[in-house]
Amino acid sequence: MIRQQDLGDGIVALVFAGSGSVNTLDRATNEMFVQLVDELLGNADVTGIVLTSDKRDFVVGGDLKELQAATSTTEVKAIVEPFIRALRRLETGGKPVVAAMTGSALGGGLELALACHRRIATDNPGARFGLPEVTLGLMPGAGGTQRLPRLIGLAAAAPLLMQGRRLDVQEAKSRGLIDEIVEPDRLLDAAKAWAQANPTASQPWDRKGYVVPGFPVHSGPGRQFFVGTWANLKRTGPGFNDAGAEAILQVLQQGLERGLDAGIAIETRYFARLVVSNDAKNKIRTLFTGVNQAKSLRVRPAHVPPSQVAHLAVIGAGVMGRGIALNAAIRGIRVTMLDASAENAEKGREEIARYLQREAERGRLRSTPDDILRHIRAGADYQQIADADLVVEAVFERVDVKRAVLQQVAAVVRPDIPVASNTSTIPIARFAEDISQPDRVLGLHFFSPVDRMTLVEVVRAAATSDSTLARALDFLKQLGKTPVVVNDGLGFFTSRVITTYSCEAMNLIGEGVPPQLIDNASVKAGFAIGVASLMDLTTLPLLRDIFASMRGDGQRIANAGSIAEDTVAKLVELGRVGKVAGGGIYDYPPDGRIPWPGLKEHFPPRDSRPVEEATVMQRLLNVQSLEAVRTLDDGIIARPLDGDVACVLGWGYPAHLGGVFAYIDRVGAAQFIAQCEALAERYGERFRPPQRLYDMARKGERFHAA
Amino acid sequence: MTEAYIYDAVRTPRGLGKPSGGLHTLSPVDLGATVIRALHERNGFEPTMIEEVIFGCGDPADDQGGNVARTSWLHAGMDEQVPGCVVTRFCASGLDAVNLAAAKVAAGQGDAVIAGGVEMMSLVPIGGGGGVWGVSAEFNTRTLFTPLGVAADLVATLAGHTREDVDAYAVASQERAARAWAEGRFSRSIVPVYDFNGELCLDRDEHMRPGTTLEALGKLRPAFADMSDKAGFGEIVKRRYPEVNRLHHVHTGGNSSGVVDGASALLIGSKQLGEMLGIRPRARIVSSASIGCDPCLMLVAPADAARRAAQRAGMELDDIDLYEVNEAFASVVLKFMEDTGIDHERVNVNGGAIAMGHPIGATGGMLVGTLLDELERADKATGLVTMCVGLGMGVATVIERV
Repeated sequence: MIRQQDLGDGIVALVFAGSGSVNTLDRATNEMFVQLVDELLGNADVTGIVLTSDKRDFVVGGDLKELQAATSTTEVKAIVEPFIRALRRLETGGKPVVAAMTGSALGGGLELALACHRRIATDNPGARFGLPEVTLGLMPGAGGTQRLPRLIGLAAAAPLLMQGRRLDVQEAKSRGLIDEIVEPDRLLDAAKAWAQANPTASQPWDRKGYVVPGFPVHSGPGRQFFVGTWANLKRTGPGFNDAGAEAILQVLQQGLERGLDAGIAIETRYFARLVVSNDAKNKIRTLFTGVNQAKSLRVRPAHVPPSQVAHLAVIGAGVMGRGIALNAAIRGIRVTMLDASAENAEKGREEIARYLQREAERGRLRSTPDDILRHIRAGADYQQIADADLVVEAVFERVDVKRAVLQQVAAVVRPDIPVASNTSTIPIARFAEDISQPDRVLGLHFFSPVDRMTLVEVVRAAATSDSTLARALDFLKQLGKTPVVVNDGLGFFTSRVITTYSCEAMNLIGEGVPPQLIDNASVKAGFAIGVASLMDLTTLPLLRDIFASMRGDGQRIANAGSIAEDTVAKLVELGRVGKVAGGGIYDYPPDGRIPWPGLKEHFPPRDSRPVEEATVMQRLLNVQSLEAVRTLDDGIIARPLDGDVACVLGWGYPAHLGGVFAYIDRVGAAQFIAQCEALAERYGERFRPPQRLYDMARKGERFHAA
Repeated sequence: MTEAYIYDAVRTPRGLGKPSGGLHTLSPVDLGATVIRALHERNGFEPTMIEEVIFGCGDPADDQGGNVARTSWLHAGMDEQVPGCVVTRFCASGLDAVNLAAAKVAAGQGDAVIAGGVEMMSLVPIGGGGGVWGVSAEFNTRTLFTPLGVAADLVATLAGHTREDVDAYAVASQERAARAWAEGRFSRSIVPVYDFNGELCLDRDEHMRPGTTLEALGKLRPAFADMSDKAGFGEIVKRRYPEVNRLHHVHTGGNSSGVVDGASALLIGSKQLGEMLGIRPRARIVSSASIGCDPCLMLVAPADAARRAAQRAGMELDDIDLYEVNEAFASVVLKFMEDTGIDHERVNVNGGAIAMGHPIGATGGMLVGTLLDELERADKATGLVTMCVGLGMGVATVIERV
């Protein structure tokens, strides 16, 4: 919905006034926009046009739903081309067009502004300006890849496009995206004044003699730029698999060799292909649809009134406890952090203080360390948490220790408040059983480092009440987390699935597969860190404990045919610990890691032929997806999208694959089954596909519709 | 079918490929004209006997673009009725010029062709000729773009060459080149370069460092470590070579080919040409071959190119007396010798590009001339030139003294 507003003296404003709290460029809005552009350009009484918004923000993007539904490049082009042409008519129409941005301009909203002759923003500290399409596997599709470099040069534009950074208004101005910053009540006046002062405005790239700022594509600096930028993208696992970022770099190169119209045509060609790609659909589904549904607390029992935590109790001043306490304090929640001794608790608080100091020095804090630290008090006296609104225990991963702590907690806190365990594997029922009012107990499984990992796995035990769940979710919303609710069971969802990944890595080591091959395979698949290196970072003794905790009754199919436990045990026995303590799978001399020479002796190659990278990748990926299907069968995870969100956010599962369930769709159930059957024959029954997959293959079903 | 013969071979000395180089103030067409005039003066052909001039040029851009064969010929004041053209295949361009000239003559499509190459790296840096390789993100991903030096270190890593191995090879190249110059082994082919005032610009290969020692070479910083570790190429090659843990950085400025300026030209013709001019052919071009390989690793094609050329000549590699294997990087030659079992005694006996430099498009012609001179000096019969090429190619030529 777009309103017209007469600003007088021939200047007309188009006010984006959609329903909802933000303006987006959906089909209806775009069609209206196209129509209004032609009307205003054709009306001789109109001497200037201002684009603005009736909301706190300007325009914050396009309609992902429509793009997500498109299955052919023809469809995609039909969505964007009318808008693209209208923007071109707007900027070449001979009348000045000013973007008067009340607040954020993101994605298509910024592309709209870039097609204006002047960009004015208000000094709104919350406003953000950027082209974040790449973060969802896409790329700008309304001329952004072509106008931005022609405005501010290739070297400045490329990182903004390829990383999707959102700039605040000051930085946006200093980088040349915005021309002028004014006070909110002066916005329309300033826009009108500029239009009146510039009656025949045109774009720099439409003027004779225009040269793109900076170096030509085919020049020494140009070659260096493209080679260097490509390498910088491709050197990481996620970057190697980022089709959107690669497409952006490609259209920058080809577009800047040509004029704007040709550049936009090239952009459209790549955009259309990207939109219909499985990679992009996966990223949109998991990172946008899935995450937004999770953050909107989709499964929160509606009948429970909204709640807020004013006072949080954290038991345990270790890494996780500190992280949780800090997260809450930054969000303005009062925290009491208890540990076994006051001294330990105080040490923990000091550690938090040191961390905050470092963050402040790096300019990463919005307030001061003291302001935040003021929210945290440390101690050992359980009476201090008597008035807590929610408790999270993050003590040693041992049932007896956790039980003892929870008993103490239950004895002092109000009987109605949620009491959560941060356990990563122990079924919540084992704690709930001897707490009075077990309905208040649940799992809140945070991920490390807490300030960067938005996922929290919320474990609902059989006894957990709706009220407990709802209040816990409200709390997680206060923390800005992305909750995924699962049911109770050994390892819940995340630990259960990720442990198969670690196990398979150790199986490969035990079979004598070189660790760098394992690492290279996982990086190529899209993981940021190779899994063998990850094992060394986790430390082998801890891995041994994790494997032991996931042994269950010793009959779990996830472990069938596995030599992972034996392999880790042997390594630990041989004194191999990990990266921080003299080496593990690798040695770490100063000039770079080398595979521990002892591997060849203790784990001689099982296969006479060298193992292929493709097989390693298949084992590492398929083992995770198989276990995920078993968690669905066991009722741990409610639906596939939850699992996809949890793995991508929880352990950096490659986003372009969508997630452990989306991966099966990508391969195709029948093909996936064939792969797993071959793996089962060769490597063990843990690869045997569950019946559900055979049924899906037979019926041609998928986990996700699109 | 006719046979193609080499009647003569000349080359300029190689000037340093930087502003201080002896040839830097000259034009590429000056260098091209120098070698063209030298062939003319030495062999007395009527210019119109020449069917055409084919020059190789690795980066045909700026002054060495626009058909440097035709422009050099006209700049030399030679008869405008003789045309010219350029062939470009990066490092092997000059050898390709020789091979195409030979094929033309052997196919009866011309009695005489001048073939060689021109390159002024001091004027047009490597890559200056453009192309999608490097600038196109998609193409880079498809081929897993690797800078040549990183590829050389990848060859070394996969083959297990140590820093000592490659430096020792470089010492040998310097020693052999120094000996060759000292003994005048190149005197038949080197054409000193003068400017139009008669001032001498250059009369010897100025890149050489005679007396280079293993210790001195050992002090040089690996030239491609930053590209590998800081820019990320060392990680990217692992996407194609997952057995690699990390690259061993063994190549330096001292064991890689030198960046230089230079030109070469050969007079290639049929038997009739010799009869017409009353000159004897020096060698027959027996066969040639071009092959493609992995564009990421790139540098391992010389062995297969040599095999195909030898096979086409009806010969075994072991039957061939002498080899010129372009010293793009020390590991290239070490790998060639490992792949073929051909001993260093027969390979690059008068040194190579590590000592004297590699003027990209001109080198192929220079190597054929060098090989021919040595076959005559040592009274040997057959020789093979083979070269590795960017984007994963290899080119080879077999010659036989007559």
